[in-house]
Amino acid sequence: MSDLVQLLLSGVALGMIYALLAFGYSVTFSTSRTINFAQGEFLMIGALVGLTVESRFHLPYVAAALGAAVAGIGLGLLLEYGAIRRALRTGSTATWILATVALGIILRNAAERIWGTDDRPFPAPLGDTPLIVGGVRVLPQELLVILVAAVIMALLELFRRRSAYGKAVTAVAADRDAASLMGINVNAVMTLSFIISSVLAAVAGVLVAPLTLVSPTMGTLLGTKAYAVAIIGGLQSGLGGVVGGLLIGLSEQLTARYISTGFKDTPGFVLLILILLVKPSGLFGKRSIRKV
Amino acid sequence: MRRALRRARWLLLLAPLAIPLITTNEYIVHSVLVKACIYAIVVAGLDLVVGYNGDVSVGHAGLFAVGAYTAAILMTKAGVSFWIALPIATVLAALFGIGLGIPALRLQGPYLAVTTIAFGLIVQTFANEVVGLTEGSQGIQNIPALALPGGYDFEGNHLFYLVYPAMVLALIVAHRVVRSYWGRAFLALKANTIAAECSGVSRIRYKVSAFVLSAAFAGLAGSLFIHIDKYIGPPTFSLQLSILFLIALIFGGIRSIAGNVIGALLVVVLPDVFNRFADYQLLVFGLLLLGTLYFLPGGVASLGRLVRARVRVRMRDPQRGPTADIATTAEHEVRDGSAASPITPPAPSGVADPLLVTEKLTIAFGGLVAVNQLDLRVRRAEVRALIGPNGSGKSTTVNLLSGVYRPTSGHVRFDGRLLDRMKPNDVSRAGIARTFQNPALFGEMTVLENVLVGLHHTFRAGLLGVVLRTRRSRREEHDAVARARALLRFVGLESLADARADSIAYGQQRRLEIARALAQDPKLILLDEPAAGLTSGEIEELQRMVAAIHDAGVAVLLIEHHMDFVMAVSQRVTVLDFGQQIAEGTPDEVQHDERVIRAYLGTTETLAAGGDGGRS
Amino acid sequence: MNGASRTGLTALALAGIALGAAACNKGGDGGSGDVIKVGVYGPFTGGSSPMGASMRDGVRLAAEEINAKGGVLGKKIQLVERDDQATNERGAQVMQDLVSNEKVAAVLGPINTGVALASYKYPMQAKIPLIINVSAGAPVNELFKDNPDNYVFRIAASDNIQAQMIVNEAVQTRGLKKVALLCDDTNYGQNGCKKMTEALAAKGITPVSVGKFKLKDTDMTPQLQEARAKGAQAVLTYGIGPELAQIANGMNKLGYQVPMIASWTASMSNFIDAAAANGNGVQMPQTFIQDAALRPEAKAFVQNFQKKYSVDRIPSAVSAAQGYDSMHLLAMAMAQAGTTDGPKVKAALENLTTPYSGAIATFTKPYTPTDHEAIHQEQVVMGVVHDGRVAGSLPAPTPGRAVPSLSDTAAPAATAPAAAKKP
Repeated sequence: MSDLVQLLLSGVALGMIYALLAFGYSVTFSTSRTINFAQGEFLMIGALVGLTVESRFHLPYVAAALGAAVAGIGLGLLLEYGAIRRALRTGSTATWILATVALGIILRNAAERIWGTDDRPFPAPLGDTPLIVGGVRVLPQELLVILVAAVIMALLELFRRRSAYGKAVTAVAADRDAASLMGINVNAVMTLSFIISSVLAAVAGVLVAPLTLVSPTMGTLLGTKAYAVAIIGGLQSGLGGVVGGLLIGLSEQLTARYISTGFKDTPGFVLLILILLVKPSGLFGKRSIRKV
Repeated sequence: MRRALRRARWLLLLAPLAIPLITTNEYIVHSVLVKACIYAIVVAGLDLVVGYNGDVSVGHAGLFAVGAYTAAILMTKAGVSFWIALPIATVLAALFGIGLGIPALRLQGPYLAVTTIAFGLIVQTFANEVVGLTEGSQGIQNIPALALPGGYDFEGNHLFYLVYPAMVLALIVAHRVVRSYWGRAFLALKANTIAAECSGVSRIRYKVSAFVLSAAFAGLAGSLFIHIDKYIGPPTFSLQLSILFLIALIFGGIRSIAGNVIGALLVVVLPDVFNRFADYQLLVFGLLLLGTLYFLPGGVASLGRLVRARVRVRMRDPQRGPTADIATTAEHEVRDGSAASPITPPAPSGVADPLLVTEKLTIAFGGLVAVNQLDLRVRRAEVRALIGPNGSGKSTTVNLLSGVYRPTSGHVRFDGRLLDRMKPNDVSRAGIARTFQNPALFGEMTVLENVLVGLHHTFRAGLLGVVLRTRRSRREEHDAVARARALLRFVGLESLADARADSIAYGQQRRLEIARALAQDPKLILLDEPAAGLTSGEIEELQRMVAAIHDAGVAVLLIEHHMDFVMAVSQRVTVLDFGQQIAEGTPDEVQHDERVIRAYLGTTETLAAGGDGGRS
Repeated sequence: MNGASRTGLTALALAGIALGAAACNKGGDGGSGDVIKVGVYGPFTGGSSPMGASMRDGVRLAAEEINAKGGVLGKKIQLVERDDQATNERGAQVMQDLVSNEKVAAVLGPINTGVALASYKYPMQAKIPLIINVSAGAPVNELFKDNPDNYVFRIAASDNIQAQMIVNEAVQTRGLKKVALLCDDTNYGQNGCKKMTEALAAKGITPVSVGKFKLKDTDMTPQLQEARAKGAQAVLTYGIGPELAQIANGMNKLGYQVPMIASWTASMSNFIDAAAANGNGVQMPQTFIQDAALRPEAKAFVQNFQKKYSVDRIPSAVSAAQGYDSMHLLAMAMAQAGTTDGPKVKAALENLTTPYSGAIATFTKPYTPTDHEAIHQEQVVMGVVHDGRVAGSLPAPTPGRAVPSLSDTAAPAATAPAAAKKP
């Protein structure tokens, strides 16, 4: 029994790591209808900057997170002005995919040259000693990730529903031109969404780093999985990221434990395709009526 | 002379076969050229999906893997000859293409992209895990040499003699498909899916076909790929390879055969060229990719196009650019009244009037009932107007009749058939054509091609006929072009035939829509506010067209706010308000109907006095 | 212009580029210029680059030493380095570039088994020696069957040796009968898994569980639960540093205290640092242990490496030492052959008349015409991770994670690989 709980808990922790990154996808999708294929690399830069702040300057974990956040702002601007805006003009899906892929390649190579190619540990702020509750052992950092993911999701939903910016994002997502005519500064909303998304990714890097190790290649697989997670949940929904993360994280761990370790990713991806065939906008996405 | 030139071109195609005779350098031929040829096949296939269909696939490495593994397994485990394994691998990959094409029917952008990624990763996992079949992570080694009778083989640089002809054939197939009605169907669906469907193009058939064809190309390439290193392993068929194919496509430039080849060659050669940047080479590659997307969004092939366009302009009168004069002459073009009407009179059918019957037709969006229990009857060859204030459900009715919307309840009977569960393209086949309130043309295609899409139903030659350019397929194309020109003459756009549809004036776009609708040989044509935004001269012209359509025996359902026009051309008028029919009768009767006047003005003033009484 | 002619023009352009490239090709073979070109390929970017870069650094150090002494045959060694990005088809392509364009005299590398499999044919056909200096899973002696004229050599502990030693450590030394195998799902890991299964079968043992993990996996809970549920008394793993560290960390998290015996890669800094305290006591077969380098040549190698690259701990000392020795062995063979001609260098490699005392060991006739493996079991020792370093280990008699002290371990490591082989 405690074995199963232990397994489920690790699935939840894994799912929340994905969810943390998935939030970022949803923010920028609302305003730009694009997905940042370099999101995993943003997470990686956040983690590496955080590690540098922490180990080089001997500053506390929170400072590392702040350092990552600052890097995130820069990355957001780089993404928007370096890749997305230009790509959007051509209007082809392949263009924005490749523009963000190119950004990812550049960041990865740059990180290798700056920080080296090795995987390095990131000291966990709450230590590496597992907490033991009724036979179930859990790392403090895992609890922190779950907690922070929940908080971010709640804040994101609140922000989206209550704040003026959130409403502006909804308006821009619904109809750019109309939003612009209503006096919403579409450009500013877009820039802000890219900054928020990138800061989320970079801070997520610092959060997951104590569990995942830090290296220039740490984000690539995470980014792909988180993309699947964001889509399963539905890109317009914060809750969707958490539900998608849980689905993928749990399916991975349960498959690995009870079916096959080699096929552990497959049920999640099959689930993704099936869900999209039934609900083309994801579990919590809204389907728009096609208009003529 | 022309024939001699054509022969010379074919010789030109064969010229590269001399390369292995000129150089024995294995890197150049075996590593670079062979791989580039194979990648070019994949990229040309990918182009069908990305360039022509407007979708995206980040999973082509999976299809490539299906082809490679099928061929390798058949050859090593079943001892099957490559010449048998090759078609099997191609067909199997094509079947997998169906699996990618079906999601594409429902998904777009990031949603479709992730599905293709998932597909690719699943294939890679199977390659790695089904050890009994694929040898798992060890990969398949010792793929047998490709021997030919007489002691010849395709080893080393001789592999080029196999893959180059394969590439040329594949590119010719791709080229012929995209230049045929198939390619027009792909492009039309990309530009405006609903308009394409309403023009008789089946979305299911052509979207899935594009993926299937594309997958077949990838499968063919995969089965050739195994001979390069005589070894394949799962890591090769990664997400990165799928992305590399996309990069090759964009580097070279979409919708260009030359671009496909150049792009493939670039992705094969660039890593070696960039080797000089040592540990920074990926950074340079990324910057180059970003730079290409920025400054050369059309890829390298667009460079050639740019140069050619320059040269062409210079060769003409420098004062008159190639497009400057078209618009003005078109304005003054006079319709040639003497020509026979290009409109096909509907064939008589056994079903008596009325042609169109709706029975309690209802559609609700959430709580809003947009069309409510509508009973509409349109007789053969009748010009019927459907009027009503804004939001009364007129356009929704058109969308219901053309199959764009499914009714919540009720039925549409047309010429004796039940239409209300049909897809728009089947409705078009059944004999209902339509125009759109906001012109929905295929912007990147020419004016002529737009009409040719409407003539989609006249093509009977299958894919094979198109690829082989059979006499029949050539005749069909020839006839369709002649017919399309006649239709353009009818609407006064003949001189604009080669202009891009998104470059012509608004009134011309409306006329082009009518030509495209007439091309479908309809029994009933739905005109959704055809006069909106037209000048009075253009409206007179439109009036003459409607009369000619009527004369040809085609029924017209006209939605219009422009009352003078409505009253002048229609025999009967139906009035809608809040989704319900409130009146029907001759123009004169309707103009004096109390309920109509109230609906329009909210008062009892007469409508006739106002003339242009509707809000438009 | 119609499509056919455009395709034709493209084809011509293709031909032009190809011929242009051929014309630009620097020409000259590896020995005829005033330098001897030696190809080095491996992953220098991406996830497995710590091994590739260490290997390359070792080769560079050796080449520098050789050139400082006047080179070989009066010519300087010139390294031609190619990044294979750890992908099979890139590996094959860069190999053809090295062979056909650069016309190298020999090739050193690679790291990844798949790369080796995709690329070994090209030097074989060109009759150029390839000395594999890291990849443990690549076929070497197995190639004799189809290639009597085998140009592939190795200086690295093959999977056969490593798997045997890992199994011996668990079964013989520690007397454990119930073991779990946990390997990554790459060519490398799965080959190791297969060899360990075979070695266990020879002792009449079937592993209680066989698990897999993927590169960059961060959570090993399911695999370790499975092993524990089946009562495994030791976890035998085959993978690379970061994932092995995740296994060690996962065992700590789950409180699963059994010995972990790993492939040689557990000696890499990325394992040692990432596993930190959880890595203590992890054992793995080693051809070279930096801290146990007592022979003067080995000491000199470590010192020179530290000086040249300003590092204290070599990221992958094994890769560096094997890279270093592979370059020296090659140079010796060329000197003995008196030419860089491939077949003659191959023959010299197979019959080295003077012993070579390098970083790993003193090799006396490391290769013969029928055996292209320089490393045999007697040159490999079990190392153990201890407090951030690798130490040579003593047989640890007690089950549980043994932590031998450093002072105990230096001696056997120093003597074990001393003299070698071949009648």
